[in-house]
Amino acid sequence: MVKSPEEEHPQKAFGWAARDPSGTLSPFHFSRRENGDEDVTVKILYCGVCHSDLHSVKNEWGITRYPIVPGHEIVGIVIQLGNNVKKFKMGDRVGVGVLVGSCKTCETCQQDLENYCPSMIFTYNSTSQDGTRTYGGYSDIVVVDQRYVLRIPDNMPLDAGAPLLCAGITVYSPMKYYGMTEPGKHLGVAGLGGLGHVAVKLGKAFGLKVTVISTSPNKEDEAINKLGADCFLVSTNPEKVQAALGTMDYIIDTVSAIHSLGPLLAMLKLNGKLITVGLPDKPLELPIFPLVMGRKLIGGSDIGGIKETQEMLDFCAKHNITADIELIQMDYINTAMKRLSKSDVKYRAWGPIDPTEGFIYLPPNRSYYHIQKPYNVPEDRLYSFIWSSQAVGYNYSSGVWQFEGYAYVPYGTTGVCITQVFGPSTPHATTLMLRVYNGSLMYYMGPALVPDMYNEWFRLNVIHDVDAGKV
Amino acid sequence: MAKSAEQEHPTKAFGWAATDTSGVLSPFKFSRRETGEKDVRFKVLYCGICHSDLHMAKNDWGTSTYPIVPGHEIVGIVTEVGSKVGKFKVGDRVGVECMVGACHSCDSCDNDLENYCPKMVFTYSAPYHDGTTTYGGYSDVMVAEERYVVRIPDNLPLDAGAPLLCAGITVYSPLQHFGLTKPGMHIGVVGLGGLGHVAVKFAKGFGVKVTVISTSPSKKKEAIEHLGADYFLVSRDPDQMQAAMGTMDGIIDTVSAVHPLLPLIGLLKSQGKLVMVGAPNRPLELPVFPLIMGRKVVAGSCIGGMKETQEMIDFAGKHNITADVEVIPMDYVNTAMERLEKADVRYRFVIDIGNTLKSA
Repeated sequence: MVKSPEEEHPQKAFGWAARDPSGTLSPFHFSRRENGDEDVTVKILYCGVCHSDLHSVKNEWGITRYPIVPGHEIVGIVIQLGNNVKKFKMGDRVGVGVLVGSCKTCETCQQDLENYCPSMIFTYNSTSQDGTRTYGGYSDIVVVDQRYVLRIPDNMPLDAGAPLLCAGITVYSPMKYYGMTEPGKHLGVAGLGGLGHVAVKLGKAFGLKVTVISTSPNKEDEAINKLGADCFLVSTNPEKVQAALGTMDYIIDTVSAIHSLGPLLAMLKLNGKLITVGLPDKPLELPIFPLVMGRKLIGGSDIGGIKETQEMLDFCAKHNITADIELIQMDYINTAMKRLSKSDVKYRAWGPIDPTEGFIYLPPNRSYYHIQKPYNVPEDRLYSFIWSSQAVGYNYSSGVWQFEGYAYVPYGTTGVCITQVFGPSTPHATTLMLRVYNGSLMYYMGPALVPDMYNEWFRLNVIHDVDAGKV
Repeated sequence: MAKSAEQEHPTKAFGWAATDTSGVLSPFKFSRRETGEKDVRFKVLYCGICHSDLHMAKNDWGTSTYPIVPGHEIVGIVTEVGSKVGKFKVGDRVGVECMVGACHSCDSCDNDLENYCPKMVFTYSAPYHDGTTTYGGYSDVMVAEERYVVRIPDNLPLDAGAPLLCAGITVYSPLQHFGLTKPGMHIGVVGLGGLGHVAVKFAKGFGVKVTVISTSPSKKKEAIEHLGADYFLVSRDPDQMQAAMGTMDGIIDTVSAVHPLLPLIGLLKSQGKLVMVGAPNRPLELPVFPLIMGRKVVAGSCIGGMKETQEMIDFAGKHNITADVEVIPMDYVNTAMERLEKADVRYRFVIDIGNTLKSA
């Protein structure tokens, strides 16, 4: 019998998933495998929103299986290590990109090109070696084989570095493979979005002259003054296009909308290379004459191998290259997806999974601890944490407050109160009461909120809107 | 006042020309320049009929200047050399291919890639430095600058060697440039016509495994037994194509009709290269996904530079590679063009100029 996503693995996980081709995401409980000898468990702090995530949640490529938890620009902290893991230690800042597995034995894997392995396993919407589906980074934790985990360089901020794990490697890899890194040569970048803006930064770091080719005239200022491009060309302006004919050694085409390749080919010099990394869902028009008459080539490229991804991260750190991002909260994701589909974002949005974002941290101290009944257990083994306006000197009678703590309930303990939120009027009316009865976390004696809580540390986060009287 | 074709140059010449877009050829009197100090003059013995000749005779590409004397697979014997010519002497067996001039000062020319020079002059129907229009090899005599003349190796017959000057270099150049010549590689050749059959021979000469991909099952026997191909795939048979997916390092696509690229890209291994040498006159559809997922390349190539052409001909001499030809008399040329249009030739017509081109 097929297990539900929540049950198929031992570690509980929580994220946001799309359940149908509307692509709308919503909270989703699932599970992650046990941390094996080769594995690293990452507490996810940030995850980039890639256009592929949008294509996938809406099943635009026809290969999505629901529910789908997207996200393959994942950064976070190591919280568990397998016995055979020597490269990382607890607390390391790491990233996980588009791949979490491959066969490791084929020719391409042996050449550190896991991204071209026929048995490659994607971070989400793929089938793992154990037959279960992979779920991506719009979640709280992920368990990954150490081979596919990247180290984020110390001087690279986690949030602005996350998009490099897909966007960065997607343009870095072909630039190296197709030899597009000779200083002084002229690179065209078609499309100024998540991929394009990173391509401009990398191009400048390689010492190339960079021209941005775009359909949006309003991106010119940004391209030149902020991203450092040398020139900007509006592709719908025939005079500008004419002047650019035969001037570029290479072009990276990041555009995923349908477009003709003719004008881009024409901008290439003899022996020029047009590299396509955008993923249109229909074929593009390719005139053959210019290809033949100029010995030009069109090549594709798909992300990069893990070794190369690490090399790219180190290169970016050395040149202080990060993505330009818009930070969002998890529950903004559906709006973000809508804006992304209209290209209304500069240039990558990523959402923190950590719900404490936006709250001001007030550290607890011992003065809030009070002794709790029952009294037949030694005092030093009993404590509760009571937060009240009187106790702490804050006005707890209004506003939105968030509490978070870790708890452990050993097998056999039943009836214990994990957390109680009193109501505003008297100390005994209750807004929230969570107890563990026979291993299940319950609201009073109502249906179990979370079963099987025994013998496991769990994190509880409660947000109390005092004015609305809700949690 | 513009001089007539007969008068613009000092020496008389005779050939066959098309005078309008019907493409029908007929006897034509014109003239050739005097042998300049860098020029080589030769008596034309044979000239191959390339499909481009047909396109140009009918002005399919819109670039033809009438009257047009086609022919750019020209071979013959040297009758005169200019004072500064060092490489050739009277009596040498030589050939001229698709170009007779270039700027000689750009990057391409400096790299022996005259074929990519923006000012490259085609052997026929192109404006030459002196303002006249060039005339090709369906004629009795040819004059060309030494740089654009190649020596035909002694062991290669002139008639069967002529087509190498266009078909040969057109496939040899990309095989070399794109690194498709390492023994053990697997190369596909799409289309078994003038270009295709020579591609098979050159590829075998390099020691690679060759699969012919064709729409015509009837060509299989010939491909394997006569041309030496290792395998034959009928592109309309989905099972055959499926079985060959992801097996080729490179494919030379010689087909000039509009055709789907998706199945061909699927035949390539990861990082494989599909090189177009046929030139369909309408754009093709390029599916981007498979290109990206396998880091594959689609490229084009156009003939080759002069240095490379000599290298190709010498390679052919060494490996006894010639084209399979049907030698025809000059006055058969219009019928030959009709048959060519229907792909009814194995695999190149070659006009026996020396014996059958008679002045009126």
